[in-house]
Amino acid sequence: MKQQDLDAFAASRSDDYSLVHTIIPAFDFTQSPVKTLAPHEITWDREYFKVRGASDPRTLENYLRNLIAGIRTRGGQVLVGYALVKGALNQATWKTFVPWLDGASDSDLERHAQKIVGFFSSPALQGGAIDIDGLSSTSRSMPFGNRSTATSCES
Amino acid sequence: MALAKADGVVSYYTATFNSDGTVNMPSMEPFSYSLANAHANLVARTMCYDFMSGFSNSLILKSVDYALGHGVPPSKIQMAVDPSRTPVAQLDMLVNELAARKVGLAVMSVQRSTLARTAQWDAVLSPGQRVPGWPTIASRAVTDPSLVNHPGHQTIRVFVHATRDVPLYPSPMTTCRQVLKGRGSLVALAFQSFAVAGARRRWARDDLGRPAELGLHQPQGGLSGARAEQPEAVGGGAIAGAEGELLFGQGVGLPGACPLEHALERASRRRGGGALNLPARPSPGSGSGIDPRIVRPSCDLRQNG
Repeated sequence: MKQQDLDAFAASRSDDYSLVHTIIPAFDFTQSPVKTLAPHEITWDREYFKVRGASDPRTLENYLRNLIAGIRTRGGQVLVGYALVKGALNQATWKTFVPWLDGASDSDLERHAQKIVGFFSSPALQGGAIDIDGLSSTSRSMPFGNRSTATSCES
Repeated sequence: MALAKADGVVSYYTATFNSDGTVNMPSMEPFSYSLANAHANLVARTMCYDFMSGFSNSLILKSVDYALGHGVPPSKIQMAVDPSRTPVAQLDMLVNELAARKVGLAVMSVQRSTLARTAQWDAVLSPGQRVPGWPTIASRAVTDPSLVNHPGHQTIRVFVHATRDVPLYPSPMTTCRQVLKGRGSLVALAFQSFAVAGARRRWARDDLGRPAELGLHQPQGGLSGARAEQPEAVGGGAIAGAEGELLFGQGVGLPGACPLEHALERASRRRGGGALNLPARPSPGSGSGIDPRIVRPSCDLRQNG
């Protein structure tokens, strides 16, 4: 995000900046039936989360890290988003995830939540842990697809 | 997820609805507003931005009133609007109504022009509050030598009660200002059994001056809430100040943040060098002092303060 955009955010007196689509659960779609990367590994939502068209992990990681730094220094917080939407991109993931969610036990959900939070301190991040301020998650049946992107990343 | 990210805000999206179980967006799962009361850091974010699909201010406010009427605090409700899909004049009216209910706003599809409008709305929602928001700091050792002036430390002057099993005395409903006088550190007491889970959590500015909650994380698991009346700021760990007030330092006591020992050292200095009178843990056999599980010994006091 450009400095002037960050300054505009600060001037707006907004408290938080939420990226609706940041991460999603990962599945191995090369398997038939689709194999769960148990117990749901997390990955970047590369269908939605793009920076000037780029969605490689390093770019997304750097973008998020810089966004957090820029917003924090202006008194704000950054919430990452976790959204799977019916009728939108990531349909294969959505179709696989919903049945899993319906059958998930409490311990499954707890483990999944830990995976989500743990993603941001994952060794896979090349620059070390990303200190997010919170999470924003959608209903699993939210119908608006790409129109629902609330605070889209820089284009 | 609220427990997994207990040191931050976790919001779930739902739709406007007039009763639990039904929503005004047919294909959207109804998530009850009451969910927001399940955890201190959980917020319901209501999608209500599509005025072109039959939404109206009255419908949105009906949903808000339903939530408030069922005991959901205003700070736990955010109504998400999209100025690109909604007449701005209608949103202006909506913001006035939300302000009267002390309910916040989430703005979708942010554009530069939207941000300018957002400032106007925030002025309505949070009249007289400071601009910009309270500074936040990353989870790291506090390095500012001045506790009072450090932006990460704020003051809560009246701490009314802690809920559930937070071991406060003489009773959970006692005004803690009274407890604090001559008692030393209320929060040091809490720290003996709890790590504060609210690091960097910062409620909306319009919450300031109204009761607010603080999440307390039990070392053995679970989350309890503490409640503050008329806070000047909320967020992060807390220590008692010289006048019986509570100093909230964001991240204090959490792993990777300013360790409690360091924070107490600062509080002691502020008191003129006198040692804090740490109350004994009230449960039998627990002894006094700081729970070593929540103290990070690597902080260099000389370096940091």
